[in-house]
Amino acid sequence: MSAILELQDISIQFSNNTLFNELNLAVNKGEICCIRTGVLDGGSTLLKCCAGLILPTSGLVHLEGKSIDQYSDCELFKKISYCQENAGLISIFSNYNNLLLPINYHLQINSKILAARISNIAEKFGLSDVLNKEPYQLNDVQISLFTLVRALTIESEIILLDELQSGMSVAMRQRVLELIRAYSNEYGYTFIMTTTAGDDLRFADRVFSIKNQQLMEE
Amino acid sequence: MNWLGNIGRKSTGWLFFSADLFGLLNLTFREMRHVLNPSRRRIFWFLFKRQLYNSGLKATYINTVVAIMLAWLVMSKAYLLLSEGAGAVQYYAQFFIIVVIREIGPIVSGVILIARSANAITAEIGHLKLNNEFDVLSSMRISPVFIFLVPVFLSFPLSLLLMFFYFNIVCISFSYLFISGLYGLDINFADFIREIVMGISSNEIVISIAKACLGGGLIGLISIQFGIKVGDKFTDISRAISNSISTQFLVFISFNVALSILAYR
Repeated sequence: MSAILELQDISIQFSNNTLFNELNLAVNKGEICCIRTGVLDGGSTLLKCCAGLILPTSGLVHLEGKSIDQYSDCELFKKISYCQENAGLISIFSNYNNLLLPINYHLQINSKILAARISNIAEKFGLSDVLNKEPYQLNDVQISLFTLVRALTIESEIILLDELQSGMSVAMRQRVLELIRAYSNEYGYTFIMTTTAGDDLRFADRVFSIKNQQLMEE
Repeated sequence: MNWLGNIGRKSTGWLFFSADLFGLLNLTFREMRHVLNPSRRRIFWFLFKRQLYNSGLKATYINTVVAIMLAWLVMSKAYLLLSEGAGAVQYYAQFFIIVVIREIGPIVSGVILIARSANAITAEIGHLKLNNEFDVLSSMRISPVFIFLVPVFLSFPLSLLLMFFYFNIVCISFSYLFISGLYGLDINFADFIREIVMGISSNEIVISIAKACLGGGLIGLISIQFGIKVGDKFTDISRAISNSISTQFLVFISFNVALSILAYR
């Protein structure tokens, strides 16, 4: 199977601090990969690099066999969604408009189709009641879920989730992970998630951990 | 030689600040191209109306109160100087044009815009910056300049123009009420309006529009510039607001004075 996303000999360095050194990763379409991270070992940076939001110091990021820098912003938007940890919504828009914003900016989708899509996904994640509220009325877990709902509404092929499970109750975590698995099976979405100690990893196809500036498959 | 160093530091500070403003202006103009895209135009229109409502319409109350008080002040001073007599209506109208329409109107409207809206923009942009919301937009490949800056930059000149126009209307109406009602001058309202309208030259209209558009743009740009300079600390926001307001007053009033001196020689 050919990889949908491939990192080749990626090195990332900030001033004198080397986060990754010639790291390699190949993720297949429809896979769910978890990257176990510790404090300050660069999980978020790695996801941002996968999304093309930061450039590696050296090495290549390939998306469907093509270098990521050959894609336009709009093409990348359709292919990859990055869900940031603890900051995903814009406070001057309502929650619903936060879901609409990136789609209206990049794509032209019929508003009725979009409304139906949003309502369907939000209902699955238990966010229907807060759709028309404001971001300040949400807790951190709901904000994280909103960023996931936004990525699913966009129908991005690759969804990068930064610490999605943090702060979730066991029951909620189980429900959310089941939904992620269902979306991956049904629509072929690829998920790459960073997780910390104590998170559930059984649902993942592959689990990696960051050791000695490299990714090690467990 | 310490004073020389201070002058040098201040001068280079202003030079860098002007260069930053110019860079921001250039970026804002560049990002305006997104307005040509129909779906992005809808987003822009939503944000532009929100900004116009907050900075223009919501200032109506304070604008009205200040216009009434100034009408009272100006007309009481005019009465002391001009009193009544033959051709009084022309004198009062001329006095009104020189004092209110040329000078006080634009400055007072600008001061209200700075005090009410521009510092709110600095605080809002600083807060968005502190909450990493610029990064959130960038991660969705959305231009933060288009979402946060372009609507402010375009709505401020229009708000200032509308505020200035409204200020003049209220001021003219209440000036008439004060001179006829309070001081008992026998002046016809239609004559008073006619004298003012006839006394306003096309030069005055152009200068007033220039003061509103360029002044409003400058106020918007400076408020944004200080907002985006906010760093990682919450206290950066309050510091940005105080610096922003001082700079806006200095730039806006200098600009108004310079334009008036050059235009009304």
